[in-house]
Amino acid sequence: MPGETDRDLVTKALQGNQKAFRDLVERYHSTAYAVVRSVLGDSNEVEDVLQNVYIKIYRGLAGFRGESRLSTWIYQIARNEAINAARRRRPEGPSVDDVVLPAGEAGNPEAVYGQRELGRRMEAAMAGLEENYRMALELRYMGERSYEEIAEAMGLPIGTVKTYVYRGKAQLKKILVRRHDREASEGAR
Amino acid sequence: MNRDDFEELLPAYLDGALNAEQTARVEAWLERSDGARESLDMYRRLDGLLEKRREQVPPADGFIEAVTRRSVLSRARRVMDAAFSFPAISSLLLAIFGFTLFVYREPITAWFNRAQQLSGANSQGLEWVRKVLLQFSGADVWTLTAVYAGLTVAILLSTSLMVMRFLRD
Repeated sequence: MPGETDRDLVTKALQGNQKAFRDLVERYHSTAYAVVRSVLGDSNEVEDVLQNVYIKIYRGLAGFRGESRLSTWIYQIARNEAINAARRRRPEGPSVDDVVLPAGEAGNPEAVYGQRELGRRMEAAMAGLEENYRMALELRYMGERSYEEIAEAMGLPIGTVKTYVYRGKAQLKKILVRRHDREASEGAR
Repeated sequence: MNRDDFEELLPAYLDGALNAEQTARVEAWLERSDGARESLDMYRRLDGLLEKRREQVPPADGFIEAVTRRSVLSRARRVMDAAFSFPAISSLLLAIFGFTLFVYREPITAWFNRAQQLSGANSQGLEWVRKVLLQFSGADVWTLTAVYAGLTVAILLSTSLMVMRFLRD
């Protein structure tokens, strides 16, 4: 139901229309997934947390007053659930080496690493980003959201969101280059 | 502007978000520096890698089914929890107790009278129980029914409200 507004879908879902709830979930699935992933990283917990997010949305729809946008509300639920899950688990994170970011020479990541390894390194590099940058990047690329939609969900001005995305990319590049340089120098020894 | 300043502008340049003056400066830098072009190329590749991560998003269908299943299950469990909650059980017991008392009022009263005579006990407590039972056995059927029905309905209503609140939460 692409023509229906969020409000229409919420109203119908509250009347017990399962399809309306399904449409809502499909509409915001990539957003919720991106938010949870940005907090938990590439973890087995993501899907469980996402289920909890949808259950909270399902139960909370009746209490959703429409004072904020639905996307903002879902973003908050997803973020809180993911943060709670992260608190429950061990204080594990990227190693310090992964997040130290001196500038390095540019390289060609695909030429250096195989696709799977590259994927793993991308995840590690993403985990090393500052949370706001990571969140903005995940929503932009994994969530396929426009800057306006991200700004709405995160409750920030569009300019700030753009800055987060650009700085996030710059930081990501530095992390990857840094790792590449370090491995190249270790290989040369 | 130094190299780091230009570097920071490259993602925005690729996004077409720079103003005319900034764009001209970045393009001039790109023209004169191999490293700048290499850097731009890497940002392009990075964009590709970030877009590729989109493939990792699982389909929503599985989640919807799981959520529906879990919601129905948890709703059923919550109803069961609520149904077997203390107020519900108390109201049920109260209703059974009232009904039993009413139906067997005469034998119970007779048994108490006999028990008191046999034991010769005359304590205040027993006397009070006896009076209550006598009162019950002599009271109007409809009054007793109304009192018990009222009590039962009141407790059931409060239980229902609790159930409704459970379901809403």
